[in-house]
Amino acid sequence: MKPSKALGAVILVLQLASVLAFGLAVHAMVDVSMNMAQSEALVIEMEMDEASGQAVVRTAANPRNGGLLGLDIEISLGITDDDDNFLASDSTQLHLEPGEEKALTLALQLPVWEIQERMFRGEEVFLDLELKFRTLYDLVSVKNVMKLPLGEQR
Amino acid sequence: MSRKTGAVISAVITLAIFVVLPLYLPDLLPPDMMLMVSNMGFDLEGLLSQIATIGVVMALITLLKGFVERTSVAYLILSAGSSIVTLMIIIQSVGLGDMQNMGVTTISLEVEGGVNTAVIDMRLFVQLAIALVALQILQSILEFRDARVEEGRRQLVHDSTMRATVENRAD
Repeated sequence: MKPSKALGAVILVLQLASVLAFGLAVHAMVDVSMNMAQSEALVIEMEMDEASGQAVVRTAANPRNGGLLGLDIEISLGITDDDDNFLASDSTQLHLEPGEEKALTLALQLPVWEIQERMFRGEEVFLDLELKFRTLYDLVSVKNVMKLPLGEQR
Repeated sequence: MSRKTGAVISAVITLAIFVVLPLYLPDLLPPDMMLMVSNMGFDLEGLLSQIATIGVVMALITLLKGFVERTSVAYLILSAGSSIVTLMIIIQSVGLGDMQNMGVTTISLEVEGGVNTAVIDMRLFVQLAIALVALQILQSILEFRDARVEEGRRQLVHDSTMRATVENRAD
């Protein structure tokens, strides 16, 4: 076989493998993210204990991987200031095999006094929720960051 | 089917896939979907018109390839150009219209007083596409060399036959 023909065969195999990998990766990530967005698979709630003055933000998710590739999900919660410095943060992750469904929970204790103090000074404080999906040995990923202001600026 | 006819058919198919389809796709998609895409800050029509522009170049190259000799340097340049144009379409599509981000796309959307930002990392496929295009260019060079060798061999056989015929006539 001529070297050009052999190289042509290698290129064809690589092209098919790339298209297949692209399709499977996109399918797995879209399936899990749509699944979390459509149903009540992702719940975020805030609890405040008036007596102790402690506040906790809880995130619970029940993601299901309907794709054909394994997928890692990482969820992070954080409190940030105007300059994106973290006042508090926590994260957790899990791996989902194809067709698998698992529960994911994360609780972040809020530094209430610090938040109130900053807000009193007129500074803005944000709640950051980050969801990251990784597949194909972490080579392909989608990260979604939601930044919401806490309370109102004076 | 001659090479020229094949090239014309290939160019028409390329035009249909990479020019006509992208230009008419916004009309075929549901308006709700177009609105959602536009709210995400993603310029779908811009991306599709960029692909259509590159598609015109691609169709032209496909057409020209059928009208030049396989042994000519022009054919080699057109083959390499065709691979590079394909790479441009892939990078453009994976980067959702921005070639400079090389597969890492950021989309920001304002929601209920906050900001929702999505970062899509598809660098792997851009890197694979670059590697594949490099291999395709190498293959074009090897094919060009093979075609030249074949042409030389054919010319040699032709010359020998002519010489033998002349000698026979002289005898």
